[in-house]
Amino acid sequence: MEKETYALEMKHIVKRFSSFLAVNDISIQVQKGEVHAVCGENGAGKSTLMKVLAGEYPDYEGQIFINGEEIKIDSPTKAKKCGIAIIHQELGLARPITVAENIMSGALPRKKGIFLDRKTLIEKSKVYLKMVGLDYISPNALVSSLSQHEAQLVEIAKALSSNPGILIMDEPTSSLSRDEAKRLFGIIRELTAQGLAVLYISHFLSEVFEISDYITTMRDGKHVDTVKKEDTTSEAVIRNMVGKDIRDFYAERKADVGEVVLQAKSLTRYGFFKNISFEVHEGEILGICGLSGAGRSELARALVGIDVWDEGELFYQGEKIKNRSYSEAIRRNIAYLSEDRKLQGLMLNLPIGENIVSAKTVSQSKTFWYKEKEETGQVKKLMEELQVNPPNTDKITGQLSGGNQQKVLLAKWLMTNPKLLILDEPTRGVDVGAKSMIHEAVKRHVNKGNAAIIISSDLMEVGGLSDRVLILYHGCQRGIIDKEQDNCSEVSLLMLANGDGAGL
Amino acid sequence: MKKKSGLEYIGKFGTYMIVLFLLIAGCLVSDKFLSLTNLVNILDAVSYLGILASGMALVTYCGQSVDLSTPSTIAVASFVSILTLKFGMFPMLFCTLASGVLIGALNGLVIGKFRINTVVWTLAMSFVFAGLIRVVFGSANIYPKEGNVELFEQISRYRVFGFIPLGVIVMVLLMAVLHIFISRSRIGRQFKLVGCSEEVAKYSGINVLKIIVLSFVGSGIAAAVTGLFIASLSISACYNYGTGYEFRAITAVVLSGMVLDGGRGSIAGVFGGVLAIGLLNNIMTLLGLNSFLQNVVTGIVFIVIVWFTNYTTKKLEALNG
Repeated sequence: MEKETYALEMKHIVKRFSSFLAVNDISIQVQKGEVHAVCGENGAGKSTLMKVLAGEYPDYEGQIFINGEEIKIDSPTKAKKCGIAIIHQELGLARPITVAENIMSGALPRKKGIFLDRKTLIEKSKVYLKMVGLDYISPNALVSSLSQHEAQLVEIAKALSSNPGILIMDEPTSSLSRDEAKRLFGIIRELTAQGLAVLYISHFLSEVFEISDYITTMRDGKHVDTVKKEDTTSEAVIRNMVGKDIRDFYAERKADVGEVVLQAKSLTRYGFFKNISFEVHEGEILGICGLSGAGRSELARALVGIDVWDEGELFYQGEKIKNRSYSEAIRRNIAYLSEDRKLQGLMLNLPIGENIVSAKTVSQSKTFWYKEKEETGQVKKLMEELQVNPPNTDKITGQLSGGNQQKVLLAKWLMTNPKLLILDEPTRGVDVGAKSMIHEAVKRHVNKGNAAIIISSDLMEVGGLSDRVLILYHGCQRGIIDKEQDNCSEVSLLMLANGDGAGL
Repeated sequence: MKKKSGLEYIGKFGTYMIVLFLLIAGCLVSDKFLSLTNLVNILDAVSYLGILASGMALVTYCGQSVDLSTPSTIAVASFVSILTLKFGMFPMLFCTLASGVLIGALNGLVIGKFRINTVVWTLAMSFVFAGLIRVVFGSANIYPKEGNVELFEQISRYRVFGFIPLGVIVMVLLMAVLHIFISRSRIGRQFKLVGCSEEVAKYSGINVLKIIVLSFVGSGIAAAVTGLFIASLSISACYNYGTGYEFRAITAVVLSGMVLDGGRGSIAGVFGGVLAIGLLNNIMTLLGLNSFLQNVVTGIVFIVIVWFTNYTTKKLEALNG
């Protein structure tokens, strides 16, 4: 092949943290108008590599060429000057100020040198809002008034405002529903058509295959493979990421169905969900599927007494109940693994051990004294089963990777030995290895004669794990699909029928 | 790794290092310093502060920063005790404590339920109560006219075994009970979790509102007891009896290693913080510094400690991350 000029070319990039090689000899080329996906488990070095490009680690080794010209990216300002814009996983917007000010914050238009030029500010930000399909939003709206996916799109608009040649996206869809993700892909395609080069990091392989031209896999900081999308399969990519074959990722699980654990009859909460009826048995996993905002989490929170419901009946092990508080549900051995592990799930500044025992010793127990030591054995056993890394109960939870935090969160609720385990997005933003570990643990727990309800935006997860799937659409029950009669692809068909437009 | 454990050690026992340092400094400053009388005097001087600070620490520990309504709670309690003395000792005690419970419950309910900023709300409450007192009673002191005034005087003057003031006993007992409650009981653990993250606590099945109300009630009771002692000491009540106590109590809490974000520190640490303030003031008095200068020094110590705590937490985070 002749020598081509790449929009971005990285040659033998190495980044060390003292003796640890976070990025070990990575070379990637991206052409103009191309989407290049980077896949890998948590801790594979993807984010470090992106930070090198963003100028956050000036002490990297290796060469970076932009449009054929070698450039040493030694500061975020330099990266910006070279036309590199990065959209982080966590939102980087200032919530209390307006959309326009956020978008243009890098270069606020001024008049007479010092005064803010509001008119130009609004006009310019309108252009970028239009680019990301948010022309219905007023530039004067406050960011805090936007929904999460709108905020995510504003973030992209902000990145575009610096007229980048290379756009780096780190898990841009983690907070988006399928529908919203679809829109984002449309936008990415439009941008690449105009010559933008995109580096795309994601855990969602279906997305990677949908949007990218090339796929690079990394493992333990090392480059494993770079292939054209057409020449590979998601199975191959997973194998490359994990380093071993996991054909049994969603292995068949024989449900040994027992008594009814939970039965809901026409549960309704005005404005959130209505007429929800289902049963879940011992040894069974019920999936709940729907877009974000369809009332999934609201339903779960009502079941456990965090929120209320207005009409209908709930039977738990044959007894009619209404949980007046969450601790009442916990004492009935119902656990709810909440959706946002950082805000709702774990005390990030406490050690792993204290987090794992917290629900059991503080909410489930009724003793006057706090007894932590007696639980140590059980905590260690769960950590071993889930392979929490590091296996050290004194480690501060906030220092773990996302996958390990999620394992700790699951361990916290398994500690309460729940008869009914409700999981809300149990593997969001979690790497493939941790994901399968979590799935295995849930299956083991259910096989002991317990029941589980799983809520997830990951259709493959819901379809693969559950015995039956309840479809929610705008708070209404659209039907329950039995796995024995239908299969995953039909689940996706039904989602299609609901206007989601998703394929698996 | 070695550096990290050193910093953790400072975070845990830093207060007592300061206490030790001050003890040594005290011995160097004056040979009267180590006498039993002086040591009892030091404890006596900080006993009211200690009672107040241990209540305030509950609020800080469960993540509600500081209770600035304490000066007015002290004043209200002093009025309640003087006015109800005529009904007898026990009704007086009951009413005084009840005034603290009520003010605390009001603070806790409003802050826990409506998520109003703690500093703003408690500061406003402080103004409202001080104002109300002055509307009703004016700015002059009021004195007890009926009831067992001799016994009332003894609350602040009685010395157990002839030399330990009752206030010191109350402070030590209160702190011991609260220390065990906070560190060992299940409810105490709920305080810690609410202090670390209210949202996570809620999603762990903890009744967050209940815990916040409890913490403010604790602070209210502690302030009421302080008010009772002050009223007994001066045998009167006045709207400004609590002025200045809140800042010294916050200083003691911060000195204890309890950070204002909540969930860290211990009541034993607060005892250390109170001791440090007592020793510092005592040494400054022995050196002959006047009380205004002492305020300046206390203020500077506060700033240095806050800076130092911030510094060590950041260092620790950097080392861990």
